[in-house]
Amino acid sequence: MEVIKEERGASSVLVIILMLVLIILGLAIASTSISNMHLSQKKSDWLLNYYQLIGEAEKQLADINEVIIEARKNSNNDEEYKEILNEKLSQGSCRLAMPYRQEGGDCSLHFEVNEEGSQYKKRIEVSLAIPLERKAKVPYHITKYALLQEALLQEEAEEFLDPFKHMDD
Amino acid sequence: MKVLKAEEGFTLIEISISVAMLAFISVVVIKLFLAASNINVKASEVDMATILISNELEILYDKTSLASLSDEYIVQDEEIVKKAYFDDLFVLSETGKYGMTISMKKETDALYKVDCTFMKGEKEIMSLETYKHFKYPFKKVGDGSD
Repeated sequence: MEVIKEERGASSVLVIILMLVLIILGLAIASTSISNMHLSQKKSDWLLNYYQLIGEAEKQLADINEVIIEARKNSNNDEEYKEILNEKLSQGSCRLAMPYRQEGGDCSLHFEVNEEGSQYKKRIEVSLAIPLERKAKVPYHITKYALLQEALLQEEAEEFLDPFKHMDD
Repeated sequence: MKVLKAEEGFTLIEISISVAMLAFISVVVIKLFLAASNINVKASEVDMATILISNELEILYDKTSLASLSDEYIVQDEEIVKKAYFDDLFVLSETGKYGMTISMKKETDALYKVDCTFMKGEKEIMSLETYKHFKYPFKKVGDGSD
């Protein structure tokens, strides 16, 4: 009890407490700012990867467009045009590996671009409808253009989507 | 008045030591505050660069022909370039602390390589590279394509 009643050094104790409070406040503010910076950097990296992926998809679209233009130049009628398209696009030329099938007047073409090397990989799925008339006004229509990320895929979400799973037990 | 006349309290030495300690620690804490403030400024710059580049690219990706690009895009040394400047509040201005450059270089007739950079003076804050395919590269505005 004598230590508590001792008044010498009381100011130092007060100052040390104040110092501790200031240091904790300073560190808290610094760590918040660093987290803020990390979040911004993460967002910027995400965008960078996103546009790289879009760039890859655009490259493939350009390749397909080129094939269509070439096919138009090198064919004399719709049948020839269709044959050239079938040959070029189903060959996996233009770095494409995709199924090719006919649906009504247009043929549909699917391809996807995948991100490499990140934890939650992104991918872009693109579907096109290519008119089979040689003189069609538009070379292709984009019927699907979806950006998907692995962490948000349905398979993982299914675990949470079945609240009645144990009802039968 | 009794309080003023009272001679009890901290001694001069105690007060001197306390002030010295507080001064020392204040320098450290103020440095921490300044560092935190600088980091926040950098974070907001990266955020704004992300937003402004993304806005610009989304507008660009919506275009199907070179002719439909806005007048801000000019041809410069075989590249199509757009430059924009932003002031301290990231508002578009004639000249400003921040500059954004979008440059497109031809790969094929319909495919262009797009480079975006966001600078603060001479210092690069963000840069990204992507590609843009123009479905009708040479189509004039109002041709009625899509």
